[in-house]
Amino acid sequence: MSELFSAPWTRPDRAGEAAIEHLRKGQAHSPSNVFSSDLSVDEAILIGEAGYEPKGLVSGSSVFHIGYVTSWVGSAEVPELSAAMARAREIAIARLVEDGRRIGGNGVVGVQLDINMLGSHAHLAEFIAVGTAIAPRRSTRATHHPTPSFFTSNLSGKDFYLLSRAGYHPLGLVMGSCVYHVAYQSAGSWAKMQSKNMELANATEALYSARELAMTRMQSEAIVLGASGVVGVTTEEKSHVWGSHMIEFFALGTAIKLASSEHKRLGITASVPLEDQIVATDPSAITGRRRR
Amino acid sequence: MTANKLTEVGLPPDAMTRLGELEERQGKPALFTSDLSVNEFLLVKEAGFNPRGLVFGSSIYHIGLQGRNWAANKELDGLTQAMYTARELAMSRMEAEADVLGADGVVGVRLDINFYEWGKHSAEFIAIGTAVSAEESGSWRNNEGKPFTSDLSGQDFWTLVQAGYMPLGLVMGTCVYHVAHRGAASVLGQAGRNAELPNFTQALYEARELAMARMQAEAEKLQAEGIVGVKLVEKSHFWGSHVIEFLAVGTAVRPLRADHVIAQPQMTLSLDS
Amino acid sequence: MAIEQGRPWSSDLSAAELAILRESGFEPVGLVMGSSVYQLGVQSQMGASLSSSWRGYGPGNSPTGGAAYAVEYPCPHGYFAGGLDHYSGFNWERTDVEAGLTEAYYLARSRMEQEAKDNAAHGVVGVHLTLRPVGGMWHVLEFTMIGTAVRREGSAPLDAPFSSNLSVQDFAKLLVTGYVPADFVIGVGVVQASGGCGLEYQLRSWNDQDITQFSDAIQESRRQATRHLEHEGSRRGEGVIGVEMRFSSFELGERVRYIQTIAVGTSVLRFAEVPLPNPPLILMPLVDRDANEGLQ
Repeated sequence: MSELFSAPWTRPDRAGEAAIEHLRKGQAHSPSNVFSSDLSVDEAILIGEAGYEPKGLVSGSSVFHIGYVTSWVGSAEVPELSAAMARAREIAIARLVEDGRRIGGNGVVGVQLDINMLGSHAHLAEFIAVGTAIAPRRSTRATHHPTPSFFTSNLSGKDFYLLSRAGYHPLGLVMGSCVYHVAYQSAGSWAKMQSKNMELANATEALYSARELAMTRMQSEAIVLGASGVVGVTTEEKSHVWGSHMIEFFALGTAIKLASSEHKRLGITASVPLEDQIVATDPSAITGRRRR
Repeated sequence: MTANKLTEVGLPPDAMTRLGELEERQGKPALFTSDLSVNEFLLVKEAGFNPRGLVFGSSIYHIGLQGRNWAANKELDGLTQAMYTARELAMSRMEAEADVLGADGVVGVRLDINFYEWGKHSAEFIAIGTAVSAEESGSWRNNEGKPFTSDLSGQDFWTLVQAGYMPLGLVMGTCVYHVAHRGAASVLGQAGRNAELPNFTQALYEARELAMARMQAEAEKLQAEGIVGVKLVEKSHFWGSHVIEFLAVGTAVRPLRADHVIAQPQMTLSLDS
Repeated sequence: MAIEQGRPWSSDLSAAELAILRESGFEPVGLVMGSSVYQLGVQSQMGASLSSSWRGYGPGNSPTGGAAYAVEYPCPHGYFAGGLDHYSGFNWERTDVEAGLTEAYYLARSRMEQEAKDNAAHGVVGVHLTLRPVGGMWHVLEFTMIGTAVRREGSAPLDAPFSSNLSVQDFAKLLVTGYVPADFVIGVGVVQASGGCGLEYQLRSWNDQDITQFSDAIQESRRQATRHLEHEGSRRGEGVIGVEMRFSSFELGERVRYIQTIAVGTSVLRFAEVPLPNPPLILMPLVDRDANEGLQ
């Protein structure tokens, strides 16, 4: 901070006067040139530092009708549901990309993926993707790597900057889904040996495989994109509206590619923040916590 | 039910397929996956390691109830054994996945337990982390020939390597303990008085000591210099309030070099909220 | 409320925020507030009459009138596929609701700005917006804004003070990079979707599929909110940052949905081309985290 503030032309107390004068002139802009973004100030500054500028807030949604699931007897993947979940997310992201291209972006950062159930329709789910479209600044000072094609990413502005400084570029969101049904019968037989502590091998294998399938599908997407790697993978398991016997395993991450010739070290300085470390005791350790 | 069977190394065939796809084949460069955040990914690279792949292990274990004496302070060794073995199985499968990738170690290991409605008295134990390989060749594996494991974050891993240490392995010890119910006579006898309850103190004390001693024994087996980042967790899971699991988890470390001096850290004061 | 000169000021700033504000050449004036309780005059149209009576509308007599966005979803089956009634579906933008919500917002904001002007402030930072229905009626809404008015000693007052939902830290960061917050702006997009027989068939189907009409309605509601936000931001800014979106959707009747997106953010204006002097220094803070975090 001191470094920024000590440069004479960035002294904020002088900047204040110029800022107020500029506001007084009250210059209007053409709405078509005005961008909107859900980036924080920090993110906007760092995106600028990486040689990009925000183009606009973009979104894509798909209200998806997920068909009725009849009573399944076996414990197995439900391929129709896996496909439906994947398809709905794909459509939402395709619409996000379309929206981003329309306003002249060449990628979207900070994509948030959500699912909302729509009211009384148990089978209607809205899949939403929201993010900020960005494009390289025309007069760019910082060294950035040209994007091969439109990318999507759930990385924050800060992550985007750090990756670009290390020589990487995001290629796209990658995801894999596997919806698995656990049958009552097999759950019962899995746990039949009531008195003995033992591994339930069939159950272990079933859920293990379901997770591996979700991750494999995510990986395949990254391979198709020609990625060097996938960062920030999150794995989630949810039953959505189906009840506890149906579980979706979902893996999501951002595929990245080394754009420069080699990984650039960042040169990290260890720091000791002078923060209030006085409160050494967790308050709940004094007031007590109910043991569950 | 799937017809698949766990392979010789104890992994499902789907895992072998997935891990196989990560490898470099003619025309296709290697791909890595990781649940490291971007910060962690860059810090692990900065420390001289390359992420190789997300590795994972799981075990669904039936944890039957064990007969217990209502009035006795006692370890329930059947349950202790079950909780330990299940985690150990999940961990060893994760290590096996890292082994398939030829990785030197696993960072950012998370241990989780899932309880499902359909699985009465059973729980799924999960270990998940990112397999890494060192840029420099050397002996990074531990004395058991296994990849090192560590529950340290990418940030902690970087700091540890900066200071000249390497993780050896995630070590843990557990103890499931039954805390005795108090007899009516002793409750009445102490009514209205401030008094230590020596039985309870003794029980909790002993259970914690057992868990920690077991963790330390694991570290000794690895010939570690010490254990960092020990977490001590107490949970009753679904057993009711008188049965408590004490779990101690930490990362055993060994020195990389004789001195442990790091570059003078910068003092910073952030005014950000 | 008028704040007398020389009287102590009140604010919800932290010590760090006060230090940064001073460093930036501004001083706090006091907390200012603006509020408006507003009734949307749309209740009669939104009720039962809509859900049933759109049947029979054809392309010629579309109910959408002069709305900015309006799309008809004609019957996809042809009129010979017997059994069901055949009728079109419609998506149209509720410009009346959009105008109402926007007006209510500006009533609250102008009252807050008036308080700031009365106290010779140049702007308001850290504005916090509360928007809630009153008395359990969704069409009666309270808009309240509270923020800290700030003043720059020695500068002549502004006709229109700036306002922003950004923190003092963000305000200072904007200033050093050559930007100033202009206005705390709103964009509203409301779309009503009334399903036709095509949608009814889709909902009865056993197939997994995208319900295009509803997807379009939601997409368009967001797009209109963004478009309106950018339009509001263009009055004296070149971009809107820190946008927060609130999305609500409910059923008005069978197959009739009301979809509303409200976006708020701060428009910013560039007053100088200021490059950062150096790439940011990357720090690795040596701090401890909660030891038991994330373990079960």
